[in-house]
Amino acid sequence: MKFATNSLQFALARRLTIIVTIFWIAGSGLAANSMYEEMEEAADTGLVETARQGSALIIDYMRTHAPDEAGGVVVIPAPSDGLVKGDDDVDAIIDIDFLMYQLRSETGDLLLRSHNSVTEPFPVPLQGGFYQDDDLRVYTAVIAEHNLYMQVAEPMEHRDEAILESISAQFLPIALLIPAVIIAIMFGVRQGLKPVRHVRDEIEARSEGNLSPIEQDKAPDEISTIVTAVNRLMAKLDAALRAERTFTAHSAHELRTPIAAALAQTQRLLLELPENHQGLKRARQTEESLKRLSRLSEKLLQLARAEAGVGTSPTGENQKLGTTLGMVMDDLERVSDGAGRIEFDAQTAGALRANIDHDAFAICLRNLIENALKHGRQDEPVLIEIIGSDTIRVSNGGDVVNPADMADLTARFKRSNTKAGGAGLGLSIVETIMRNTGGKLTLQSPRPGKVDGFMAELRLHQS
Amino acid sequence: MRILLVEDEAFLAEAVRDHLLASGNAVDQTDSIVEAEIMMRGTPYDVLLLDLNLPDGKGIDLLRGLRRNRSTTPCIILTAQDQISDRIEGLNAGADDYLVKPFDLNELSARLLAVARRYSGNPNPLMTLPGGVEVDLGNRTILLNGKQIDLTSREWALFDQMLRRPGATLSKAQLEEALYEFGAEIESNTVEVYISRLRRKLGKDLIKTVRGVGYRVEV
Repeated sequence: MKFATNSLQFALARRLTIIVTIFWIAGSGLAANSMYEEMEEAADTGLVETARQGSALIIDYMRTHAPDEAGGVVVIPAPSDGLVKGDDDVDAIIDIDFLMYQLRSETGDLLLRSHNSVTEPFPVPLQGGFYQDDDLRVYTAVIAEHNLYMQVAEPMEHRDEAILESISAQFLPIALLIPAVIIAIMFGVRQGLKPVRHVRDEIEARSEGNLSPIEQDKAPDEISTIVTAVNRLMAKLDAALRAERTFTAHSAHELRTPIAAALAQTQRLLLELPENHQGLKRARQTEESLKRLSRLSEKLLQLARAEAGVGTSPTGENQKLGTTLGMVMDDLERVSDGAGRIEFDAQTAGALRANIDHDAFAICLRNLIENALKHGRQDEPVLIEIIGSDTIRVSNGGDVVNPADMADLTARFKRSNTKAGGAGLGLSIVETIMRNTGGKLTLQSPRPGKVDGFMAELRLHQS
Repeated sequence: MRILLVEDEAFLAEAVRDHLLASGNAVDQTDSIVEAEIMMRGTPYDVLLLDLNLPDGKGIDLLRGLRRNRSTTPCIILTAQDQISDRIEGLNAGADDYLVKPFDLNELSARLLAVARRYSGNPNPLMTLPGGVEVDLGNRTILLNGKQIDLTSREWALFDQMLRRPGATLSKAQLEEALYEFGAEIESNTVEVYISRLRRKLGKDLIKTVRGVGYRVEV
């Protein structure tokens, strides 16, 4: 599981983790405080119970035993000394011998003490109730019948240790659980954001070739509105693109047909005029102008298509380009420039496939080959190479292009410094289509492995 | 060849028609799919030149209908639609070639000849005939013992019709079909007149008369 630090997932997971941790620690603190008070109460209850219920037995013990120490103090021995038969296993685990007690007279003299008690009277006043200093918590029970004071003490060190151990026992699992909670939160957030990611992926998969509506049923309420808005926008974009493409297609038809008529009529005129007719020259110039107009309108229509976003495959997936490649080659072989000058291994065409529209690919390829035929050395072939499944390279002989001019080759209406004609749009069209499709156009002069010439390479986008 | 041109742009149709006529073909022209269907039912055309956008429908539908009815008439699409997808659609519908407007008239002629040759079963444009006759169908040139012979467009049209089925006997009616436009008047002895002229130019033994049937070119 990997989060980008600027992702919604990361932000949510971080905030949730911090909030949960703070509340957990606060809750545990309150629980610890409550536990502390309860344990204090339980320990105090233990002191009171020991003092009240043990006083009769202790007085009785004192009367039946001779003093053990100077001053007439009777000492009650440790359980291990034989007074009480203890359970060794329990003794090993639980420190049951931590309470100290003393029996004192109304004048404060020490009459009896437990074996673990200090030999001096506890430094507490002779009055009923609790008294506490830094070392001891003492409860004094007044035995009114005998004017005696039964005092039971617990070392503060023991009580603090017990409370600390209890609170630690509560916090330790929490400390161990926090990382697990963080992982669980991250997983939960990731799962929770699955519909958002689905919508994101769906939007990302849309392109000018695929503007189908995003499925709305799976979108949660929070982003359903976004999906609706995106679908509405895509529908508008789709309609606009369709209108633009239809317009381009209609323009192509409306423009080409009259040019075709004018060119055909002019060519008939050239054939029908007598050899020495003075109008022949003008007819030839008209024919040449019409051909130039035809080429220019062709390029402008291609540019309009490229600008309209033509490019990616209609399915959004890779498609085979071998047939298209063959058709373009066939066309160019038929024109006088290309006849016999194009070298191409048709066997490699089958491997070519990419996420590009057939027409867009044909436009790119035609422009590159036409450029090579036009600007390349006439006595050298134009070499077409297919490299792998995604790269096609067109190279020709000829002068090396000035490095300073290389960057301008893809600029619109920028003609090269050769005498060859052209609208100066071909490479610009190719670059626009490559940009639309995520492909890359690379130009190089001299061509690889040679000292002269020019190479154009298309690296086509793979889906 | 007898050609049906289906094109609605009048100036373009006129220029194409004149060019094909001047090249020795017989050309009928219409701007309507309905008329084209009627004309094709009545006349065995050698090639159909078909525009795709016509006033009464799509040319591609006419072509699909012809192929459904097992028509084998070669078809070249003439269209302003230049996209590869359009071209693939046209070829899949049964077109033999696809020419995008504007086109050079000479390129149209070359494509016509290439398609016609393909259908004749003899894709080689160079033919050597008895009597020292060498024909280049691509360049429309004829040499007799190394010397170039000039034929008029109608002489060429008749000879071309016979060359596309070398060795086969063609009836007088078949040869007339190749010579004239739809509805034009045909003189009863026109074929004989042109056969006679061809024999004078290419040698009397090249074209044989099969009595009661027609004529054939010796191979």
